[in-house]
Amino acid sequence: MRQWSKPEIRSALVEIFSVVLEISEGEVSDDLSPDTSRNWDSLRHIHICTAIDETFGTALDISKQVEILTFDLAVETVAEELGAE
Amino acid sequence: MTGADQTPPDLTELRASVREAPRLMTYLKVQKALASRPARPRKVAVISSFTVRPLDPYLRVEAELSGWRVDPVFTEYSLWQQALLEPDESAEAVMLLLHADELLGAGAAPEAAAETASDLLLSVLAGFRSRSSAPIVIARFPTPVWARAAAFGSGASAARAVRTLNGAIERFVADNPLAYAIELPPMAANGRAAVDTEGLVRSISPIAAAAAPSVAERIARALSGFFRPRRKLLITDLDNTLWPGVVGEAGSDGIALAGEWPGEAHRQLQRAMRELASSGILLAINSKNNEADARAVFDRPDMVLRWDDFAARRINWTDKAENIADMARELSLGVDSFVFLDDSPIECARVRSAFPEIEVVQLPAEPDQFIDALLDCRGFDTLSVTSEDRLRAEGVKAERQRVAVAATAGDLTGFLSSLDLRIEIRPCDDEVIERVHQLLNKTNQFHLTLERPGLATLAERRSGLRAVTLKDRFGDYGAIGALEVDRAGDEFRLRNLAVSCRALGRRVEETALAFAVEQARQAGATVLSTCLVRGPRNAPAWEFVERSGFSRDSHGDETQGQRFCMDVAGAAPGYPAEVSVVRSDGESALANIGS
Repeated sequence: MRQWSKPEIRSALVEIFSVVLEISEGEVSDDLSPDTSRNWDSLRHIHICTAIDETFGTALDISKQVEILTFDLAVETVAEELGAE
Repeated sequence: MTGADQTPPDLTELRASVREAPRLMTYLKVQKALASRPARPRKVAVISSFTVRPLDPYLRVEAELSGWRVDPVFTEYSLWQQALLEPDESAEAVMLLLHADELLGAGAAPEAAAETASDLLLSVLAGFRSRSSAPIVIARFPTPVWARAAAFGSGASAARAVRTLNGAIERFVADNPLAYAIELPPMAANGRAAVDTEGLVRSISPIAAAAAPSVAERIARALSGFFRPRRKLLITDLDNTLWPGVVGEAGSDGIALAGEWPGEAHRQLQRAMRELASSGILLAINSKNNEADARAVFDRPDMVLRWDDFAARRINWTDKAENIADMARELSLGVDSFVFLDDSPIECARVRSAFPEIEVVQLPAEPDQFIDALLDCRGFDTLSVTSEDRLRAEGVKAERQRVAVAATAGDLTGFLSSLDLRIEIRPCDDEVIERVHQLLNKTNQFHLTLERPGLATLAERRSGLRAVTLKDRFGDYGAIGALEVDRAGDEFRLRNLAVSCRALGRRVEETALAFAVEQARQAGATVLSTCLVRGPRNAPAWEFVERSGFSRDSHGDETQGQRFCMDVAGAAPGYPAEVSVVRSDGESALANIGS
């Protein structure tokens, strides 16, 4: 099982958010949220969670999925799930 | 993977990337890369009792890989009944996915629930069909995983309930044109359970992410037959493809086929090809060999395919791409309708380079993967096979006989008279509507308007549509013409005419025109008009109209529609002398009546 560092998690998530939300990597900021991103709707949220599970080997349950309200929270949620520092 | 602003995306590369990494991120990247390909989006109503929306990017990519572009519109949950009873008129096809658990409920009597649910389903489907002529594809109900606990389930009540529901689907499909049923692959992450129960609970989607690619592929391939032409010819190699080994070295007796491995794998591949042939796909051989050596193998009793099963054969030492060009001329087929199968990566690369439009299948080294390689080929996918498709191989043989007769005939009139041509003009009923759709959408050379109407549109315009069939003493061409007439004010219109290129010169177009003239007169019209659109290949249609007695309107735009008129009150074209014509009501029109 691969060990992820937090910077690696952040980098992988930047790519995920960029691809799923169809924005440039430069537009992925910590406070990116459904309120600030036009493309972040419920379908894209499902896709973000799917991409997270496939990339990191996680299986985020619904309580964790709904915590991902911003990009920064996505980083924190995944890091906590993986026990990364 | 190339981006949208670079060279056009290589479909082979993109297909390989989704196969190697069938994950959402791959599909999203491939979807972006494919966006630059020019294609007309086809609107498909995806109606389901559970959420299918997350399938969107997978479905879009798999459709592109099948040669068409989908514009899916999703209707989910309890709105499925409303979506069927108030169908979207602009949808060109419908895909219906229902979950058995919702229809059966959780009660203790699933069989009784199934009877009620079947009645409901049939009623809703009948309501759909009365309001929409769009093709509908229905996913059969899988047996729920919990029902399989009763050993193999055939006697268990839940399994019987699901059979009842599926029986309702089969009855609807049997009784209605343009209705089809398909199996979906398992939707659970473990690849075994039919639905992903965890997913169903967490996000109301019973399709696990791991299963999404295969489910999307099945749906995209099932629908593809409505939106892109089916390929017509499978060209196969011989050595290490149809049989193991090299006949030039081993001799025909040295080829180990029946009862041997991998000989039996090659025989199975031959069976798969024969199955394709029975659905209307032509077979051809392209092999570097001495013909006599190869022919000897076909005489063996353990060969599945026979020498005469092939519409064309190039067994020589010529470059395979040159052979393919030659076969295209011989069979009067475009190379974009070909699939090429060969075990040699060099030959495959050669053909890909010479003809990028050919679908190339390289036979894998592992014999147990032979059939998978053929199944992965999407060019032959279709849900419906018309009787014309099945007649195609016979048609090639008959054409050879006609060519032989033409070589000895005197003039054209004498030749045509000797063929005993019989043309029938028949209504566009359920039996022929799919063939009429095929003709209007695939014909390029003899097509007046280049309009490509969908099946739903054609069904609505059925009353003015006719199918034109042709037989001669050598065989049955099947339906080779699609004709549409209608009334527009005081004028009678030849709204469209498309004739298959293999039937041109057999007086089909003249007969169709004579029919339109006859219909115009019967309707009391004095003018027959038509409107032509100029395309890159339909010069034969223009030449026919211009020499048939029509006058061109002085104001007209060939690319938008050039109007032509003919006075039918006086002399006008009649039925050709060399043909006997039957109209659908059984009335026989002898030659020259109406001229």
